[in-house]
Amino acid sequence: MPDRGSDWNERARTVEELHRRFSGAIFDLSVRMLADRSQAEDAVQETFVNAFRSLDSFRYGTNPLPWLYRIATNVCLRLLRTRKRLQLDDRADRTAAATRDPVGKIHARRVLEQLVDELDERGQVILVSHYISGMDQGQIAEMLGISRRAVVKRLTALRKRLGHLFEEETGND
Amino acid sequence: MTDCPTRFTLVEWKTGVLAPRAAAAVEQHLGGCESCRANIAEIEQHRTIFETRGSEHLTDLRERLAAETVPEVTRTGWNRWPKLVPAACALAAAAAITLVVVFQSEEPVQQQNRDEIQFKGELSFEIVAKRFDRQFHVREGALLKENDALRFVVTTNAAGYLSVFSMAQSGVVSPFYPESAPARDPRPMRLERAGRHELPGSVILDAAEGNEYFIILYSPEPFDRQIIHDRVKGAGPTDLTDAIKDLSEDRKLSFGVMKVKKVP
Repeated sequence: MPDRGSDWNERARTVEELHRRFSGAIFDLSVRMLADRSQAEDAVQETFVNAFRSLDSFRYGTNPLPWLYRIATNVCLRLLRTRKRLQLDDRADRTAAATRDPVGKIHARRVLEQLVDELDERGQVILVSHYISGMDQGQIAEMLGISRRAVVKRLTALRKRLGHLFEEETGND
Repeated sequence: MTDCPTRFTLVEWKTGVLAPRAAAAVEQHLGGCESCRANIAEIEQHRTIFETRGSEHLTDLRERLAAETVPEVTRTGWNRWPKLVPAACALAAAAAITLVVVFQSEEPVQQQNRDEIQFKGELSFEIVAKRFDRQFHVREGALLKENDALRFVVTTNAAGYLSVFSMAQSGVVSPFYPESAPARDPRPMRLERAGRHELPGSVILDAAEGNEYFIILYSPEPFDRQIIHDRVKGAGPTDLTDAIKDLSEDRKLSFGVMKVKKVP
């Protein structure tokens, strides 16, 4: 690694260690959000570059995973907004979570995609953190540094909206 | 199964960031839950897929980082970026806390070395101190100074209620979490879930010298902090542990007490 000064070197070493330890977990999150292996790999790399930039926001003595998840979620949401549409090809579905209900899974993706478009940035993060990353209310609150009550309020509204969208989606088949 | 851990918790378990007790709970659950084992298998599958090109990814990361410069930020206190959180070997646990003779025990933070203290009941915690640009785990008998910034990390095996406060040698009791005086609001801090909790913010130590005791109380049920503080104040430093033990038995509290020394 080039010597860019002690501060840069220390940061880079830390990020490499984070990458060594957590890149698999971030890939798991990314591939579930993006349903595309290649994009998910790129999202992982961009996550750790962003981690390098924002290392000052990482609090010593804390578990790095929520902090990395927050960065990765924002990276993936940016990619989704740019891409505009989830790709539902067979390869992505095999890579992504196994499902007992492939048809339900496709419906779920379309519905989530539509809801992502409707929400502000925080709403998007809460939506994907709960339904894709599999975080509970407390974990989301901790990751975002907000109250659990705020998360509960958002998720309640999201569930209602999801219910309506599912009805519309299944009604279209 | 209705008591399945979240997928995020499974990822935490797989990456080894869960506290020992929480990790053991997940392992026990996995023994009897096919759905969660399937989730773990998928998480592992994704990791394997990513790591088939592991060296390429690392090379790519290094190339991307080489184009980065260190951002200009104001580095004060905890804003200065810290070292990676270490994993740890657990300290020897004491079922009941005893006050020990003061000794030098500032343990520099090292990789693979978490100082987690197990106490009576279902509670463990660690205290991390920051002094200028040095960080270290606080152990029993540590020598601390004015302006040392302390962070508390608490691990419980269930949701519940928490109170963290200190007693100085003078007998003055200072609440840390919640920060409000019990006379104003006697409610403890709510922990919404089991697991590891990094308590927000830092506690900055004042200039008062002498012995200081950090007291951590946890219960699955709410409790009245005012009663606790009054009893502790009444006991004073010499009888502090007995008072806490009595309270814990009366109120199903788990507790921890750590004695440190404040020096100039």
